[in-house]
Amino acid sequence: MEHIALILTASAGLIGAAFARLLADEFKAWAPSLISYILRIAIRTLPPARRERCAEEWESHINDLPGDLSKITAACGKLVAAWRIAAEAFGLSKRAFDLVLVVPALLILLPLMALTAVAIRLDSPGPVIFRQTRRGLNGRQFAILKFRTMTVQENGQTDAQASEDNPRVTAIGRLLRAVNFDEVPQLLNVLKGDMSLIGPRPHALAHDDYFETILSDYPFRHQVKPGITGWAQCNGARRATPSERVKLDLWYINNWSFWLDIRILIRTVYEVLRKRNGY
Amino acid sequence: MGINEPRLTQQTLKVLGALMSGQIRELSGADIARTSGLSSGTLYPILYRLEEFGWLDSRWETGDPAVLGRPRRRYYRITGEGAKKVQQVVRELTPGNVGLAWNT
Repeated sequence: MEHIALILTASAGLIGAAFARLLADEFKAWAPSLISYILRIAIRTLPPARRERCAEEWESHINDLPGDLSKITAACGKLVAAWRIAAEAFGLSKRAFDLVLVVPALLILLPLMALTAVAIRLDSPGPVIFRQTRRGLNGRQFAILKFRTMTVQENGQTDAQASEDNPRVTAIGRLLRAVNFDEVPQLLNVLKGDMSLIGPRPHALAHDDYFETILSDYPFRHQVKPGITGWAQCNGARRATPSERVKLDLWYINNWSFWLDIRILIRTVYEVLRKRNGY
Repeated sequence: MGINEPRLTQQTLKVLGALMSGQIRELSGADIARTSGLSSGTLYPILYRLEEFGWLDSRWETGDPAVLGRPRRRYYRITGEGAKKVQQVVRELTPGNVGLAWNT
């Protein structure tokens, strides 16, 4: 009886050792391609101007390390580095782009905005500007500004998505919504830095909470500033499901470039002129 | 501190420290990672930022990668400007400084 146990233990040990050896060999053969794969993703994440230098520098860094495990760890580190460098470049050039466009736009629109303010005041009692708390960069809350398009409700706000035939919409409000002019005060949000011209639309807080429970990718939207218009908006956002919209937002965050922003901006102007995505 | 200067975080100081101490004044990213104990994810954004601000200088290793048989290293060294700034900060932070102020 004891002999059998001994033999069993010994053979189990042998099989275990052989299996471990197999795994180790497999890992050795597999590690270099895994490392170059991770490094390739890291390089792709970088802004194009940095890619060439980082590719060679980082490859040599990994080449200088002993052992496959430390090489893999370092490759993952490069991925983090690329992410951070890209995020920094994204933030800086985007802010410059926003300011260059928003300052002249505000100056040009100021007379029209003043006229609108007077019209809202005369049309129905209540403030000119409607403020609502939304989540911005890194989830920090800010007050989004819009021209008020509805009559003021006594018992607080509702979270209902705006529909076209809401009886609370004022006459001026209907006009403003039809030409999307109610969103224009958000240029001030951009000037202040709470928002960007282009980015994922900020949703009402209650909607944020709801989407977070049903879409695991949703919080990634808060890695960038929310925008007045976005990639989802010029891809038929009103007809898309929430998860399709979040996918479009994430695609934008991962594929952002200066030209993409320009494209979205032109597309938005075109859509607004066609009056198709009225709120 | 003005907007035209990098923030001197603990990690930034470690990077500068690695480049200022020791005999060898020119180090590769891998060398700095080893001496400072920082991971690549933290190290490289700092290196590039310090270089943009002119505190660091870098150059490719001389030699053809084909002859070397491996990708070229990039070597970093601290600039005169960078060294001056670091010394200034160190002076401000040295406890002895405070002591002197108390004594006088």
